[in-house]
Amino acid sequence: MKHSRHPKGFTLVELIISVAALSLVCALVLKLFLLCLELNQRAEIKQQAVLTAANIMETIKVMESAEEFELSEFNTDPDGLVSRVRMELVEELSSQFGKFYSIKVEIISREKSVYELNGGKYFTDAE
Amino acid sequence: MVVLVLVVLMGLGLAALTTSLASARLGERSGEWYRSYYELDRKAEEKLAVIDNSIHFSDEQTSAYMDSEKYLLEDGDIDDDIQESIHAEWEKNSGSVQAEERIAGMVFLFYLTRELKEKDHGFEELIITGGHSIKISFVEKDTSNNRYKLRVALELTGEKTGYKIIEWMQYNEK
Repeated sequence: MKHSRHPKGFTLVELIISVAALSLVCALVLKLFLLCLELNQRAEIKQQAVLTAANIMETIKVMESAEEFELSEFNTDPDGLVSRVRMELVEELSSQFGKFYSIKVEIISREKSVYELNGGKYFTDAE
Repeated sequence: MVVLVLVVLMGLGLAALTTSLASARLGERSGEWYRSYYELDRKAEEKLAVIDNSIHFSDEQTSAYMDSEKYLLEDGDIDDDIQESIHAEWEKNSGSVQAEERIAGMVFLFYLTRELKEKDHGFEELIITGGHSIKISFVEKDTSNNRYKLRVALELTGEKTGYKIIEWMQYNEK
């Protein structure tokens, strides 16, 4: 019986090398998908934060008096984002006829600030 | 076969990554747009405060002018040509309520224009028109990227110092 000089099949070394290469590529692809997942989550949080901040800003803008703002609550929304809203009176632009407030809306997710929106509102002291 | 699977997996992975990056970029841009919008809005609100104060101030000045009957004089504390036309109006229709109202309107418009145009409030493209009703309009520009503008127009209602905003529109010039 004659042995072939080029037998069909793989040697153990070839198999080990190919399995290692396959594992490496699989690990890379997996990492890529995990990265995508994280990026998607971050983008989703950001977009929710932007919309929440804009929503709060619009709510303040349609208010007729600063007192109405004092009574409002913007603490948390159902998506787990925490909203911090600050309104400060700007003396230079306020008078006996009306008050100008600078508005700062900050959206926090997992104790990290994800978005900040600055605006302003002038309330007339209509008699 | 194995190589084919690897290539497909890599392709899908890269496609997913590109989509995620595009989504993240979209979120960033949307955030920037809102920031820029509310920054412009804030500036316009500041100008609205200035206009509101000027309207009240002009109203007080007009009342003082009318109470002291300065329109009877040839020489008042307002511009000569306006004072002249006020005086002419009074000479022509003296005693009539309509004449007094017209004079008050002219004086008010004069004080308001002086208050808004001569003092440096940083208005861009400020337009004040008189006539049947007084209209004020101005434009705010986005200084960060110079792309967006906000045009605001308001009309005085004629009742004391009341006004209504008739335009508050942001637009892209390019």
